[in-house]
Amino acid sequence: MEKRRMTGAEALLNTFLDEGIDTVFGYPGGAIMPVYDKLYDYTDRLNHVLVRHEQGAIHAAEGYARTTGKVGVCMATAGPGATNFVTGIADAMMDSTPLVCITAQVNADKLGTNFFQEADMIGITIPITKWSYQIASAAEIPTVMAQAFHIAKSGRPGPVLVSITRTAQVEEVDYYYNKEEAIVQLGGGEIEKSAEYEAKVSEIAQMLNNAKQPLIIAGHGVILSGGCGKLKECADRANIPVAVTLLGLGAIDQSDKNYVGMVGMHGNVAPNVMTQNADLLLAIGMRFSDRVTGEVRGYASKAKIVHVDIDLSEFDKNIKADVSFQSDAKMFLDTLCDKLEYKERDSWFALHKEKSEFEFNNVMKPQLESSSLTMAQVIDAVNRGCKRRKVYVTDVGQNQMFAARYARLDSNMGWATSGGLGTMGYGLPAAIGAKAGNPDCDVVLFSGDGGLQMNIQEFGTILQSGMQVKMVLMNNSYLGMVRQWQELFYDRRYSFTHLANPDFQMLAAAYGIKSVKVTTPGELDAAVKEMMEHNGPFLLEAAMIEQENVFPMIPAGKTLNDIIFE
Amino acid sequence: MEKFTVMAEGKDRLDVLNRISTLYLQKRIEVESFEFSRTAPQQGEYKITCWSERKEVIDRIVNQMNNIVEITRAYVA
Repeated sequence: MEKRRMTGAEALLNTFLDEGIDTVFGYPGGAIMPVYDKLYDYTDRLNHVLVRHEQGAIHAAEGYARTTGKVGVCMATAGPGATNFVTGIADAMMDSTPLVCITAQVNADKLGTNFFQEADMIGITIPITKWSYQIASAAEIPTVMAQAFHIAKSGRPGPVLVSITRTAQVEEVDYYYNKEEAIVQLGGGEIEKSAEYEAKVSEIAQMLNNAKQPLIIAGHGVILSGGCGKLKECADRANIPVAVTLLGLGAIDQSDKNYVGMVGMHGNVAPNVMTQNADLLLAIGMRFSDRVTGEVRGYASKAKIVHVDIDLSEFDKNIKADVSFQSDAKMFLDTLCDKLEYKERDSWFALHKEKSEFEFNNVMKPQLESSSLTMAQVIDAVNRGCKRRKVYVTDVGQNQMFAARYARLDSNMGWATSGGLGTMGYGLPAAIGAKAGNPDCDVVLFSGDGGLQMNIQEFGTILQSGMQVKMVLMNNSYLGMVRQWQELFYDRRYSFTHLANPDFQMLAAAYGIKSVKVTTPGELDAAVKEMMEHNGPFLLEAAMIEQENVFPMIPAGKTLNDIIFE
Repeated sequence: MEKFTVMAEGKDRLDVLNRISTLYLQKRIEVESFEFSRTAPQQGEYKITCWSERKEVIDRIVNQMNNIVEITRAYVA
């Protein structure tokens, strides 16, 4: 490959092209000006989405990555621009989202002098990055960037931060991109399918074949590894029910005969009860988050637990497993499938049917048929109104839990939500990123009024980019989830959770976004139809009752046996 | 309290020291000494002497150390 002489700034942009990156989310500033100056000549090859706040850029990159399977790229200047990435980096780390975050840094000879807009991003982000590197000279750029992209997406994906000094941006380099050579320098390797590997999978298969009441819990790792198809194949072959985590939603079609629902704090009754009654739990690509397990001492006490994950450090962290097996989820499922035997499990599936019917009749049906407008009705109406492949993005709080419970999610559609960190303000920019990565899909955001206002400046990004994001605002004038906890556990002392809100219709109009407001269930279908048929961004505001709560719920500190319904 | 010696081999980058120390800080592990020595060009060895009531806590940290990109091998000596 021929070497080309160019500046470090141009070399950086070329690494994006060599990695197949088509979209970058960012915001310019002083120290990153050399990169933005070169970007002026690359707009025919790189789509730069100009956000209104650097937090918007990184959440957009997350939304892009989560719904495309590609690495999300975002750029910010030094100092405050860079530190505005911090929440997004932590979010991506918790949710295993592959990101390459470029932050500019002051000149190499000024490092450590408290120069204008100098912030030690490497030091700040060490606990929340998978890897980080400060580039001091242009010659490092091709190798470091190749390593950054590889690290972000390999193994358990995560955020990588590259801090690039202004010196490195303006220096010249003989550009030559050799990804393979850069990866070799990193060392390490993939998990291999050895005889020992096969034997371990056979042992797990035997446990499954012998189990009377096995349950598979599929997490984000199944989706990240591309193992959804194999998951279905395994479940079909052995006739085993499959539950999913919040981030695992979509790992298996919700219409699949083996699908039993979402586990966890606001999960479905059936999979939580089945967890407590299973004799074997096979957890794949999930980390036994506290939101999944509740109080760990009472978790799955009748079950042998088999934990399969790519990350060794997840084993025995929250739940002590009987068998822990380090593997890529798809590779594991692929190996497992042929070793499984079919077994009738009628009484086991009958438990699912019984609990699902109970939940539908006592929780879902009343919410769906309420005469007051409920979040369940809103999400259900959107399910009906989406005609193309859809991507759902949520913010955090009640809107998120209602979306997780009522959205119809299949394995061929996208789903992006902030699970581990629970970042309010994630939704709007993540939806912009999802739309950038999925221009031919219906991208729908479900947000509350609190979360929407945390990054509402990104209406400006929609205005400028024309991105056709469909925004569903479920406005109850409260920080709904906190209000719910205050009602249930803090004697209804509603301390600072009521929000005096702006007129969202006027706000949308100010940004050139068409909008409609509904207040009754009867208006929903027409409003959703108008939103989906509108050729542009759209805000559907649903004025909700203030006191709506998400049920069922497992209160904090309680076990999965302690589900409450009111 | 039991005394443990944790060893790690890998690249000799200074920020690896920070990545390792962060793990001990998060778990509030009492670190008696933390040594680094260069073993070859760009290669180094890290040695942490620490105290904990439970070995499994140290084992978990060792697993996390093995996740650090620049570490090739970490183990309880």
